[in-house]
Amino acid sequence: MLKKLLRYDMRAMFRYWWIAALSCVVFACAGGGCLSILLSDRSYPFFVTSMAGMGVALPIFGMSAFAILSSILVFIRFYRNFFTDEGYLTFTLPVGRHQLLNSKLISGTSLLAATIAVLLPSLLLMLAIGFGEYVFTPEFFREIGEALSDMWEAIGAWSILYAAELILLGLTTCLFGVLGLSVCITLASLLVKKAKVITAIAIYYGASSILSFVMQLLQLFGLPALADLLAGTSEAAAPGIMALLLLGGICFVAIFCGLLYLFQYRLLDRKLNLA
Amino acid sequence: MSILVCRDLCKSYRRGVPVLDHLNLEIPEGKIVGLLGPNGCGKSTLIKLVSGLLQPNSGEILVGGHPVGPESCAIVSYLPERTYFSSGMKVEGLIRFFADFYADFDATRARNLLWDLGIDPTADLKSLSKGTKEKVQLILVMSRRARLYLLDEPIAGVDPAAREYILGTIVGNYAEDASIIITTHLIADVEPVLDEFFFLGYGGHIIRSGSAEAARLESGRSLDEQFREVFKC
Amino acid sequence: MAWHFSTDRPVYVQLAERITRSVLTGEYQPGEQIPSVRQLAMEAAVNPNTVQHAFTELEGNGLIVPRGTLGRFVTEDRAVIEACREQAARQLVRDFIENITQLSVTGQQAIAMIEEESL
Repeated sequence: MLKKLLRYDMRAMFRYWWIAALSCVVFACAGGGCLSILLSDRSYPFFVTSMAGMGVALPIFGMSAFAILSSILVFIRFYRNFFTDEGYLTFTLPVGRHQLLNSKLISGTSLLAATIAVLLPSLLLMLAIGFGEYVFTPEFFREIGEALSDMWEAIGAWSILYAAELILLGLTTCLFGVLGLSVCITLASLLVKKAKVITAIAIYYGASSILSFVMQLLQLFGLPALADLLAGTSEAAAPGIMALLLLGGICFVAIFCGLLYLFQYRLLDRKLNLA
Repeated sequence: MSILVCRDLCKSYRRGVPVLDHLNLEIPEGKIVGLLGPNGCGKSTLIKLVSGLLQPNSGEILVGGHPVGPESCAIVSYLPERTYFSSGMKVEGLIRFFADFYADFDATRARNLLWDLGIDPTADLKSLSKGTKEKVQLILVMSRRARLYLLDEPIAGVDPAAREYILGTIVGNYAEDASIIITTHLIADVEPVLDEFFFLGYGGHIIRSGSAEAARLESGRSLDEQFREVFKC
Repeated sequence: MAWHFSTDRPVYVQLAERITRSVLTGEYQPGEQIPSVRQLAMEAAVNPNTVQHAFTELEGNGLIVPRGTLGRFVTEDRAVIEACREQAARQLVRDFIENITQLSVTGQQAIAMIEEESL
């Protein structure tokens, strides 16, 4: 049953995502082109340069919009499928509540992860095209190659572990994001009768603000402590410590994901009351 | 054997007056049963509890021996008052959805019934008129070979011609040994279809129940008339 | 068309009368197949058990003959049909007499009126 739910959830969430992703890449290329015009030695008419100026700002805008749009797509799927009249169909299907929730979480996390997988390369692409003339000289590639092989000599296999841990951390953070969205819309649906979407957005921004405040506090006190710790360790142990820190980060986010999941499940199971 | 057993069922929405107050109810297999009562007496709430949309505050519900959950949902076909279509789905898409999730769904029958009504399977569900949407939903619900059909106000807010179609479709398409529970406050239209009935008062209290035909013969009055007597304002 | 039933008699009795009328008026010919329980229930928007009950009644007086899996058929025995016709007609006459005497019209006057109207 989970596979079937996944098929429908994925299809619903990704339906309009492809166009947005494609637009993002196109924006990046356009932005890169404009950037290269601005940075170029050749002199262009004033009209062209001012257009190019705008042409750099808009893609930045567009790519941010793409990121926000992805969150919206996840949000809408949760809202429509659970908390509108569609819920009458969803919650009377012969599937367990866990499966309903898991299907949405997996689809949502995949979507957010896919968004990052498109955004980052797009940004790099834009910079690459923009700075192309200046940066991508043969010298540049040689220097990059040297730096990479130096790094490999220094930490070697660790880098593979770091890459894996970073991906895992990224996925866990996406999951956390999806859970956050879903809890916000669930709470909004339970607390108010009308204007559920606005309430959900309000809760989301409220919670994000509190969260970033807490993160800043943690950084304020945590980073110096971290620096002391790293300063004290030997060179041999440093890569291991780094890996452990990343692992710690993953566990930290995972625990919060678990708590949110339990909270979300309990809300769906006990408190759901479709009009 | 009872297809539905409710024991000591209690449900209140907020702390306050209970919508269902220690309800005890049993529905036998193979009968068309009417849950008849005024608005707000708890009929819809009871249906939602059995279909799995709501959790009771206390008490027990058994559907075909199963507590409410995935197994009970697999044998219960529920028609809510509202239309519940996914946005952007076409008629054919909804048929495939039902076929995907419900093993007892008869897609051929559904398609034939829709064809008889002249509904285009490639049509967008959102583009259909309200009456047509309700008919599509009814057809899909009745095309399941379920053991229990829950029809919540199937003819409320529907024009007389459509009412006939709906009642005819209900009676002509349900699985032989299955039971149907119909909640309604439009007694006169639904009466001829019923085997048995329950008059439910506020709090879900059973005021009168039994065989529809016997009740008519005994009192010489239709259920509609008896209802008006019992629930006189 | 959903059929309308009055509340003074059981629904199955009214259904049986309806079907009998269809046979007597020739809508259903002798030996013709009758709609199934389900079809009739659907057409009349009536509980299938009620239809079943009506059929049992009609089978009892021989107007309908069940033929196993093939279905139900109007009897081909003309005598039975005529007996039904006579019975139905007599009932109408009795009802008429009861009603007309309530208006203090004598039998002779009634017969004269009938002859006039029939012309």
